[in-house]
Amino acid sequence: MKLLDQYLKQIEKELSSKKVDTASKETGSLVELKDGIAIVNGLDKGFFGEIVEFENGVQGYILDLSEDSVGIIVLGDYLTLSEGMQVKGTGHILSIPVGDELIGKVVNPLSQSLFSSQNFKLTKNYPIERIAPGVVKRQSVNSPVQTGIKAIDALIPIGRGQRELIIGDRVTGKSTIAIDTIINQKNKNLICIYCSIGQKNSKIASVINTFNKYDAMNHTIVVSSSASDPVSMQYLAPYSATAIGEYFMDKGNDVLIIYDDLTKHAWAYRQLSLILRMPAGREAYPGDVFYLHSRLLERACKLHKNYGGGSLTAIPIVETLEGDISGYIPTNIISITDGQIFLETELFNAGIRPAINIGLSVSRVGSNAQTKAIKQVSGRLKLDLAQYRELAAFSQFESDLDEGTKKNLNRGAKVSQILIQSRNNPYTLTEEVCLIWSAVNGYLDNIPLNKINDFEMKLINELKLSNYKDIQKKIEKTKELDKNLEQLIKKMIEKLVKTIL
Amino acid sequence: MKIDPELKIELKKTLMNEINKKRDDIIIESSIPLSNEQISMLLEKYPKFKNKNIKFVLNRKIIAGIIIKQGSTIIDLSLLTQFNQIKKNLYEIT
Repeated sequence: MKLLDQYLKQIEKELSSKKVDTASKETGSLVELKDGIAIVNGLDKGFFGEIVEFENGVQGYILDLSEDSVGIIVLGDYLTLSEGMQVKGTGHILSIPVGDELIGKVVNPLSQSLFSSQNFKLTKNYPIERIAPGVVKRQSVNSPVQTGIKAIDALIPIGRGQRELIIGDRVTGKSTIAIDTIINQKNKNLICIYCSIGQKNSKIASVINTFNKYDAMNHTIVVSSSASDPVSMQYLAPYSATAIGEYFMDKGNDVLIIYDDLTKHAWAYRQLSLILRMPAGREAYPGDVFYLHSRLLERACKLHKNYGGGSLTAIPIVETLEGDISGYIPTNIISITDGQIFLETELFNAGIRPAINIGLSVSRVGSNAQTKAIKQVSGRLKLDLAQYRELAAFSQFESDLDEGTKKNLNRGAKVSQILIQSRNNPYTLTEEVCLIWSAVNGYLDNIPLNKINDFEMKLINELKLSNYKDIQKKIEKTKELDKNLEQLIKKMIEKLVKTIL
Repeated sequence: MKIDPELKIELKKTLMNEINKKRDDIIIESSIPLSNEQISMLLEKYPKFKNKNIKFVLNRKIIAGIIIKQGSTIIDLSLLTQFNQIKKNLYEIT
């Protein structure tokens, strides 16, 4: 009974506050309905991106303006609409509610919770489409996103505010890299948004499970639009994930967004634009498919100190066919982003995981985005690997090699081995620095390949012991290697190598 | 049959004029016929309606009140819409 009284009170309040709306409104009538899109006559003064409301309360979003009709994306169940319905313009641009409460939640592209048990109220609204911050507001990228993946942190560093593409065939571990990166951001002051576009519900569920298992949900928001959602939702998902990210960025936080994946987003947009009868171009994509992604990824940035100093890092994922990175969508996105991580099936099958092809992967922000400690050890690493790759192909035909070549080959093999790492197992900065230091300085040269893994395990255990806690403390604090520290690491590793041999 | 180009332009002009005039026409829907007094009150409230073609339509479905339509804009003062609004609000509360 108490609940009923509460309801009645609320209703009373609602009714007394309502005033008769005498303002004139734009209207139109629904003439056509196709797969999540409504064609409406009228709405003469409607504008691009305006929210409209159908007679039964379902909302829509104007995407296409032609001479005497407009194309509207239906946000909601389009099967409840019928021909001849009245459509009213609201004069508002499409925006979604945002707020701190979103952290740890799973939401749809309209920022509504997917679990009924998650109740939250958001007060602030952010527009889904926003023009990217201009030149004045930006600053060059200077601090790293620690991915916890040795190969990426050492060779292809990602900076806060950078856009780094993850590209590769199916089942090469693209999402795994992204998920590991999110898992590693515990207590690192980086809010992560995982935006799934057109994926299987089962996959989204397993991703959320992984986050829960590794305690990563406390700094993560999942924006989900699955394959069974209308394409309109799939089209909106990355934009609304970015809007949520911008809210935190404007507050001065650092944000990381994973778009998984933009190929499916391009497909969704292709479907929408074909239904809207926009002229089709190459591979039936509309002419503005480049702008579709460039305006999205351009919103990633590092803000200047005077504007709050927040940052938004974008990691889009793109799927290729048969390793062909010269496809239409892959080339578009490669040219937009500041670098790419290229994953290969052959490497993956050969057991090199993450299957990163180091030759084809780059990070255009470069070593500015690396901590000093990693920078100090990874310089040699690149050189060693480059030499190894050159020799490896060549040495297969040659049986007797000179001493120098043998040494280079051995070093390369060990370095490649040390960069291998299992999934959901991110390394700390200290572990990365020590491991790479030992590889670069030749301490692994005498250890057989199959024992490298043992060495890694032992080193990680050793670092946790009280004798060497100083190393961890110092590296975490100064993020730099000085002579004393290097001596200490040397002592530890020399001892470890002896136990292995 | 070929139409003289000049004539064609004239014809287009007059047709456009016709369409624009029609677009300017005002339709007022009400549940009961409006009295002269009510109409003059309306015109007082909306002076921009003067000197325009006004068409009165009876529509029982809107229960009470009026709906004014001009081209694609609409001023909805009907009871039906308000009921719908209340229905929606109640749904949101519960």
